[in-house]
Amino acid sequence: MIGKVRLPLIVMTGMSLIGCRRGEEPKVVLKFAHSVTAGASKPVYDAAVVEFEAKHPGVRVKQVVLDGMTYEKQGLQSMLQGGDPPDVFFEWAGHRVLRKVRDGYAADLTEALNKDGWRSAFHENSWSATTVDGRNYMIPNTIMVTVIHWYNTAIFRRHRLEVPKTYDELLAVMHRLKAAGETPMIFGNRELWPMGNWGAHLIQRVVGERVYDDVLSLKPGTSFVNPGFVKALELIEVWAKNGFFNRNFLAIADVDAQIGFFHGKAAFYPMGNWVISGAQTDAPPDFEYDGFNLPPLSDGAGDQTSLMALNTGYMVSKSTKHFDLAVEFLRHMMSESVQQRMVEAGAISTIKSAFDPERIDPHLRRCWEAWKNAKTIIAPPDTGYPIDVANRLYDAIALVADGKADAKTALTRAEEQVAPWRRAAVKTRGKE
Amino acid sequence: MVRSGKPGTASIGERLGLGDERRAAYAFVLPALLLFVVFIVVPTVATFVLSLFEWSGGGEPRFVGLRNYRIALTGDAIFTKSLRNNFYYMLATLVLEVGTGLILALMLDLKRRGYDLFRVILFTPMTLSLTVIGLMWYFILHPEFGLFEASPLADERTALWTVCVVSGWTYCGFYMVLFYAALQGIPRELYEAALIDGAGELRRILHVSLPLLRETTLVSVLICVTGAFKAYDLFRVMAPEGVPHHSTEIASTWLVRSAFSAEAAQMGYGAALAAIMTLLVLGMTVLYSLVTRRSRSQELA
Repeated sequence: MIGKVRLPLIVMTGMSLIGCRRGEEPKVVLKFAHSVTAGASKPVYDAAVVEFEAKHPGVRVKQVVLDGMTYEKQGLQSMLQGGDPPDVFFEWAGHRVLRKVRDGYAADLTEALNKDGWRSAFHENSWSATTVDGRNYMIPNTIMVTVIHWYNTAIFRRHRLEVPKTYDELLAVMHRLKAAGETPMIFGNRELWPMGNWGAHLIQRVVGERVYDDVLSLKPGTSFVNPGFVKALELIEVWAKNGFFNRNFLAIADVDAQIGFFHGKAAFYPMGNWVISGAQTDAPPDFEYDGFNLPPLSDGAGDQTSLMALNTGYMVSKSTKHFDLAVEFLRHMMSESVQQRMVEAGAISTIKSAFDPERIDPHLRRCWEAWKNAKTIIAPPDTGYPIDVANRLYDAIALVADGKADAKTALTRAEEQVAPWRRAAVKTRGKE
Repeated sequence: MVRSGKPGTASIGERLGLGDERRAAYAFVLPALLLFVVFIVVPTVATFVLSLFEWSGGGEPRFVGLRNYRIALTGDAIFTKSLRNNFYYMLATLVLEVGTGLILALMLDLKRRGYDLFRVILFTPMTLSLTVIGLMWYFILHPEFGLFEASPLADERTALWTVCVVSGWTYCGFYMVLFYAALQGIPRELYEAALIDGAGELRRILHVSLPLLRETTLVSVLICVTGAFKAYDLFRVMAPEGVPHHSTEIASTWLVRSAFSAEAAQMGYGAALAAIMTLLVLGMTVLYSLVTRRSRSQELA
């Protein structure tokens, strides 16, 4: 008898507990989409969310986290197109912001930034490519230096190498490393952008920032097949012919290359400042590394101090029902306390009071110095320009680096692929 | 059967002059028909309409006529390459899946010791998710940490065929089961008669088994051909981004990247690629049906 009664009692108690739990459910759920899945920044995000929830009873911040590639390629777009888009989402500045505004996904944040002088908390140079028609659509969070030549200092010491000051010296270092049996440079280029960005920076140094921008923006009359681009890819041909890149670079993911670099498999790993965060969690304790910007080319065009970098930040969905709360959340994310922890995790913060170059990690200071010393900041192709154009340039760079095509052939193929879109862009411009 | 005799209260079926039997038949078909219309016809029509627009999934679509088709068929070398890869994949899987499945079924039909165990082992890959299979083989063949010094996935010349072999390994068990079941339906008397006529094992297979497996073979080929154009997961997992140099790019992976990639987000263009693929598969299926029907009627004649 007792046994018969016990089961319904357990069920009823359980149901009442579920009822209690339901009673505590938050009134508002704020969806926050980003791509920080691991590394030293992840605990900062998690803690910031918990702090915000504690300050706002009845509010739950639901983090929707996808790995960087999925987020960039399909994840965010699918979420925005779906019926329940995120209220706040991470984004890369540049063409992507423009597209989000043009497609009606982005809320105007100008007034929110003007309120209480919030705008003045940011570095003055944080706003590039975050505005459209003079209106703010992105709260810049960090400055992302996209290409720094990270090198293994132990390998440098072993072969008595010095940091190259010119492009020719860099080539000489590569030759010495190769002769000593080292893998001079490692890439995980399965996703095409790692080597693509490095190659694109080299192109800019050869052709100058204006031609670089014109060709990638599909300006009428421009083409990939121009003497400057061909010359730049011929430089990459030299790298390929000398075997400066790791074997299998086309088939492995960037994360594999990064792990390889941390474990001494190669001397160089050209990548962004997020390597610092990765090294904090994934590198062996005795791993030592340093970095520098691409050295100047003696016969290059345009600014030879240029740096490939971009801002990243947060946007608010135009369709959000909790605009004020979303802004409040972003004010919390951009608060000095959260941003200081971001800096400790390896980020260059856009908040003035949070970023003291004298007190930061030395690796991060390298990025900061490169950024400070660069007269020109150039955008990576995949965030600054239409992705189809970027991908075709990346294809060309990969083909040349793999020795499958010479510079002119690879660029001709890329141009053939882009030509229909170039014509379409011209037509659209004509209509506008 | 009691019928309503009141004028003006006739059911739709009565007004259309349909008999009870036909009405019942339509009633039974209706739910399936509704589902078919909602989930197949409407999306198909919507895809064709969308293919005439430039649209990123947000904002106002812009009518561009047949521009997307023109780009896909004349200016998109990667799409052309991906279709060619689909064709190679189809040929390879016909051999590796259907061919191997048939051979395995014939071998099992010899009923040597332990054949039941082999049947289970060979069918096991079919019970796993393609994503799991893809990941498993990806790690075995990983260019950096895998078992082989030179990974076939890292080489432009071998990457596609590697995926084909994994696909064959996965699905040959399925076709084996189909053929094996069909073999069990062949009357044993035919084999006995052949045996009395002095036919050896090979001749019995060639002159009894294979001709009577014709229908199963035709169905298997159709499943395999259409399946080759629907493939996605294995390629997505084993060779993301169509590496190296789009050598493992197939139409569906290129379509998804064109349509849903955050920045490309060319829903209209993706829809045009989907429409082309639909027409292609439809065309192949119709052609295949016509050819097989013709050969069947010739045989009957």
